[in-house]
Amino acid sequence: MINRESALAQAFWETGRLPCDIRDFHAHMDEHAEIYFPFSSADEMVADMDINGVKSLLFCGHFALYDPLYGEQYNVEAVRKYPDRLRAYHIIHSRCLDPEREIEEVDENPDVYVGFKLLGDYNCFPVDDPCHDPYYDYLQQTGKFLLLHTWGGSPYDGSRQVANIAKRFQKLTVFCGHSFFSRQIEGVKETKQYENIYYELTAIPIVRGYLEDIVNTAGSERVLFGTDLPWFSTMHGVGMVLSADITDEDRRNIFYRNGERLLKGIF
Amino acid sequence: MDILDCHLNFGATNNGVPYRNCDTFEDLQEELARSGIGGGLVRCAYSSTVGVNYGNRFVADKVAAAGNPLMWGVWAALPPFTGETPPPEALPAAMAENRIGALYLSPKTHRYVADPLTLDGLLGVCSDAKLPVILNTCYGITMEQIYAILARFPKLSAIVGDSDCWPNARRLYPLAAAYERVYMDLAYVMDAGGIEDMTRRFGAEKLLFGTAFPERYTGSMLAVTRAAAIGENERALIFGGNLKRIVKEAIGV
Repeated sequence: MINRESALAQAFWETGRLPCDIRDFHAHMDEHAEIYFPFSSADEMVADMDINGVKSLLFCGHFALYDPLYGEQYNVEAVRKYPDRLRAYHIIHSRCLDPEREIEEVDENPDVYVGFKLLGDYNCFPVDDPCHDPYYDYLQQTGKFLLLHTWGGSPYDGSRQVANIAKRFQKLTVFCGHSFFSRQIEGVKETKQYENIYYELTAIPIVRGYLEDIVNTAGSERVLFGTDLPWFSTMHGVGMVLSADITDEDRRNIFYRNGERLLKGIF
Repeated sequence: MDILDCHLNFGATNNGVPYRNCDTFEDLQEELARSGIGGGLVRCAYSSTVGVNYGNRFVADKVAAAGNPLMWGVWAALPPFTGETPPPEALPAAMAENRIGALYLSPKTHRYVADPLTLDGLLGVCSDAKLPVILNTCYGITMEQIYAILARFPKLSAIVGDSDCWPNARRLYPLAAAYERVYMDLAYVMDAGGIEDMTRRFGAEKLLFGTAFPERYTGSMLAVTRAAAIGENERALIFGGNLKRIVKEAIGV
């Protein structure tokens, strides 16, 4: 039953599927050196989306994430194959920047890209460094998205760095991946004054209580569902949301309402 | 269908871990009722944070008082040389008498060397009596120690888990493939398709539903297991049938 106080949880338990759509804002694709994935191809991920009721998925594949030279083409191929289900974030490698070319790639392929993704911790490079300004300028002007990996206490993508970006680019829509994991209350408090900041839930299921912290501090209207698929099963995140001490209205905001608002005109 | 959780904890802590703790057995029972979990293996954290006998007595008393035929306690096991806990030969009867469904090893916390000199007397009895032994890295035993123990006691009834969830499969699959009586605690198997893959490779008989409550949300693995693309018979085994079988085989209750 998962949660006897939730009608959504009880409906899920009946069929093994939510009675509403899911919009996933944070995923990957393809193999990764550190782990065995039972599945990770675009075909398999879309089949998994069908089974679990995930209507759309925004991702950046592992090849793009780690190969600054040749990886991006795999994002394009996957989206072109599943244009009704997938969109990609173009990666920014802070130590291998080519803003003119990369912005052009995103701009000329609106059917593929919803914006950029940046992982300060992975690059060991602060996300608020001015070298990223051309990207942020472009995203702000076009209304496209910035997905940041954010982690509590990080000198590269902690709440201070994100607040610095938001202060300078107040119309930029930023998704804080992992919601400043481990310092989620502090992170949300430091950034929520900027109304275009959203908090995404990848990794949050592994610590009971974090989701309630985020919802209670930010409000569920600012929270987006994400999985890191294929690292996490979609159902692992679904179960957390159903299990947490929040309301069914909060759950619906997280699973699809906030996402549908942001994705209007994209799918 | 019985839903039995092989990985439950309770007991107050003073260091903020787990983040949102379950201080009391009564709180644990409330969460189980809320989430629809009928019972399972319950460990009291006091056996690691306060004292082994303190925690072991605590959980035995609580489980006895609860009167739930589908709930069993978990005891911390110590090497026999200091005589702090019942001698290995007395364990089968003591566990049956106290509804203790499994033992767990925590060599780091309890400060002993997990080598043959220290553990063979204890584990020989466990292996012969089919007493389930929890070998989970979340309790401070390493994967290398787990591999060494199972190499010496290949017929040990072991409930194995790896809290270093990535790369879970590369570390766990060799054990599942090699040892007949190794059972996988699924509490940290959160990757997409993980349960389906393990069921296909090793059979549902080797998989045990677990949540790692209160460290993690009970809902996560409930949802993963409920929605897994496996047969209903396999789901029933994973959700509770296997645990009931291996515990009853060991202690008869």
